[in-house]
Amino acid sequence: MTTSAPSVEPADQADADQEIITRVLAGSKDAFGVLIQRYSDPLYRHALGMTGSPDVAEDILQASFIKAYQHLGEVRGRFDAWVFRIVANSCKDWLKNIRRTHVSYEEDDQPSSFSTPEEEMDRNELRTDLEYALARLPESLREAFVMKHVEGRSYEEMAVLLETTVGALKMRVHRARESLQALLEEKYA
Amino acid sequence: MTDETTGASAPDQPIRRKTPPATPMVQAWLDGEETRDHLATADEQETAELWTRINSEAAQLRKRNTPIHVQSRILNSLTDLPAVPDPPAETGFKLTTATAVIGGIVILAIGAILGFMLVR
Repeated sequence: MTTSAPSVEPADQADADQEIITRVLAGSKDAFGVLIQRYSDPLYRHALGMTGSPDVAEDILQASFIKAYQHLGEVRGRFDAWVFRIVANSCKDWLKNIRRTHVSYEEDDQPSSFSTPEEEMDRNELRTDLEYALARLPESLREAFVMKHVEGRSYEEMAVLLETTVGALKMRVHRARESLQALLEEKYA
Repeated sequence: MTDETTGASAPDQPIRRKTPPATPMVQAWLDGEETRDHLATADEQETAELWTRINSEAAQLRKRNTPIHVQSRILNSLTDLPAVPDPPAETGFKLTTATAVIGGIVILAIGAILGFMLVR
């Protein structure tokens, strides 16, 4: 899966989520596992993109799903948008408390697809620099850039999740690009 | 929404640009609204080259999935929690058949009493 978008229509997905929520509220705790499985990847990527730390992203994901479970009866509208906002707000809270000067992906244990060690070294350097540059952006610009470029969401989907307009999000993404470009071009342009 | 100029992790110093910011055409290309063929100037092509590399790196991040142990950890943590509470009960008055019948009887009784008193 490359984005959060399930392969079914949003309305159908919302209905399916609501059925699961009804089962959980009726006492089937295990049914909540379906929601975790369905949405953990895009939410994890968002937390990872926002914090730059796999450990922090895992903790935020766990705390967010527990919070979602405890307040499941309060869901109004789409579950995916509701739980996304829990994760997004948790990321912002974390960012308010932590100022990072360096972002490390050393814990990345995912297999590499690069052909040569030199290429891999070059790519890892860009990744580190990109994450460092992202960490220097204001929260709202970083959030918009991560959702657009890392999570691969459309502006329309972003507008639903962040409860704002497509125009405002385009402006944020454009400003984020300009800032990132200015930070990275010295070395890579 | 958050003020975009005062984020918690705002740069310590203003960002100095080496080259002009991405042109509207480059932004449109990055938004998928234009093809790269429409980038006419050398500056735009240079910018596009940089963004191709950045997007390639972003695509690598997009492939990352939740570590398997995390989903299990979340599910295990739910077992220690009490069952999820039901949504708050509606506190407004609900008209049922029984309450309607009782209400009707009460109104008729009051009407009968008042009528009896008026007649006397």
